[in-house]
Amino acid sequence: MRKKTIIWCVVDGIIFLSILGMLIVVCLQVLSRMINSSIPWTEELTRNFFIWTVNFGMAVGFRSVEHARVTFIFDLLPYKKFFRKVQGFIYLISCLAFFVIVMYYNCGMTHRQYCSLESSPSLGIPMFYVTLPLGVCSLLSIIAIFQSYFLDSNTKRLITTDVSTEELEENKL
Amino acid sequence: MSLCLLGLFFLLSLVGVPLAIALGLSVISTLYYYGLPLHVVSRFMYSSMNSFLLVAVPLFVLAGLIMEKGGIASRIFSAANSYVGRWRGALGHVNIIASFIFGGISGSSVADVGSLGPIEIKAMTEEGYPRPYAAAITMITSTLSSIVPPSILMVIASVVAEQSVSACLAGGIGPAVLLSLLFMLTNYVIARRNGYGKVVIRSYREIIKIIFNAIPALLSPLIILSGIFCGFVTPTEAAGLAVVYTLFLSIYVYKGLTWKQFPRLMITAGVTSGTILFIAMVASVATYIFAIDQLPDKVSVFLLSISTNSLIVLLIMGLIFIVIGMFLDITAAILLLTPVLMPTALAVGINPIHFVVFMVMALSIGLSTPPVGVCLFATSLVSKLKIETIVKASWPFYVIIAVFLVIFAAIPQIATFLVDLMLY
Repeated sequence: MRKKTIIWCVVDGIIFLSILGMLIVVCLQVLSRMINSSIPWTEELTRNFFIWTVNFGMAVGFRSVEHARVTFIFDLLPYKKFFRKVQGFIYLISCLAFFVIVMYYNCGMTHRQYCSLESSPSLGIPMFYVTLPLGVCSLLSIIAIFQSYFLDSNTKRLITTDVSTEELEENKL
Repeated sequence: MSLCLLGLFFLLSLVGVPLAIALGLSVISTLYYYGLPLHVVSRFMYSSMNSFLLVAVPLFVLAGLIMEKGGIASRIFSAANSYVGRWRGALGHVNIIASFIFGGISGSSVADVGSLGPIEIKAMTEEGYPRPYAAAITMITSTLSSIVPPSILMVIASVVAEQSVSACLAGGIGPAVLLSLLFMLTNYVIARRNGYGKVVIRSYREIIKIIFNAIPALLSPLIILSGIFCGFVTPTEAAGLAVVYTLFLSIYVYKGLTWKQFPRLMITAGVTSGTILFIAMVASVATYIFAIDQLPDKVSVFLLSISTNSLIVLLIMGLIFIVIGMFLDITAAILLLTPVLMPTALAVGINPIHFVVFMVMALSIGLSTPPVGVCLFATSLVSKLKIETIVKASWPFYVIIAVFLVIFAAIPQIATFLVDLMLY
């Protein structure tokens, strides 16, 4: 993969902080219970960190082409540039179509939550903070797909499986 | 409606669309075609992740990564080697025991191949085992991590099946122990017949020294599992404690990891979890469509028309799991099949814990079979052998797993006796 752009450095930072937050809060939950003084908001805060982690992790997965897929049909076909192009085109269009739709409907849901001033039960934070990551990360995934397909020859080779199994797995591991 | 969704999903999957996107687009097309509201996609995707139990997934992934990089895996290998080195086919047994213990901490099969695989294959080939056999046993034993608690797949399956995570994890212990013993027996027979490996008899002083060095690593699964099963911590909290403990061991005891490397591992764990759970997010919408279409009822009527005997039904399901597991990512298969087949299983009187453990076990065979077995690919990478060579060397173990699945289907107590013990 090419050198990371600033967006992905920020995203890495968010994932790091979310997992760190999750870890600290989970440990705090165990410790507080041991001293018979349970904290009511730990579970909710952990879930919030988790939602942010999963959504941002999903977007980074598209940047590094790590999402599980079945490629053996194209692997069985004779090696021709045309088949690779078709494979890449199908990947690009399908992923973009999905995230555009998800982003559109997530914007609507987040907007409704923002207007309704709905807040979470124990922390009291606005609920749109929890639904927002899906929309933000759909946008990030769109950027990731564009970057991995058009701007990075290594990830494009992974998308079009124009790479040996050994190299591909080395990248995944 | 469900057939339209599944047909489209398989079609898109076959042309190389990422599985989660293939499922998502199939769901959206089905909702649109049948005039159902599309906003449910976003709502279900959000709400499916609003679960405290699933928080265990990134934390166990992180614990597995720390073990992989922190030198814990090699200690487990040395400890197992020192004790069973005196038996015929010793390193094969070591491979099985080490994978069992490693699975008891990391819960990830690919992490097992990635961390233990190079050590095991190198040691086995140096002692005269054929490389394909060493690779085959490494790959097959790695699938034990899918059933040994705290298996990440078992956590996901129990959440989807709405069963107690602790009970499902406990249910995995019996089958994992028996399957390991069967693997050891097979390894013994093969090694004896072909004269593989050397018998190394170590002095008790030497054995005690190696095991003493590995005690902190060997304590990790005990701490994690006793915490969960004795009710001190929830599975999610146990995952958090597993991270803290393995981190402490790797940095301060074994010194295989530094604080500088830790943030990178956290980011990797986040990305791995994101890619695993993205499928879970989309599958929750598919489950909604299955419910509207009453697919579980239709499948139930179909399966019950073949037989109402719980063993026959479970064996048919086992066949479905194996075939689907060969072509689909296991997480996706669990998420799609559980809501569809679980009601039928309950209707014929199959214990839900037995069903969940059986499903995870049958599906995990797909981890080591072509065309999409990730453990097979990972083993091929670490052993530098062709996939077909490894598959050829693995067939005795495939047969053993298949035979064990039939036995396990017939005797639910293999999974449920520990759960019953926990309850009383």
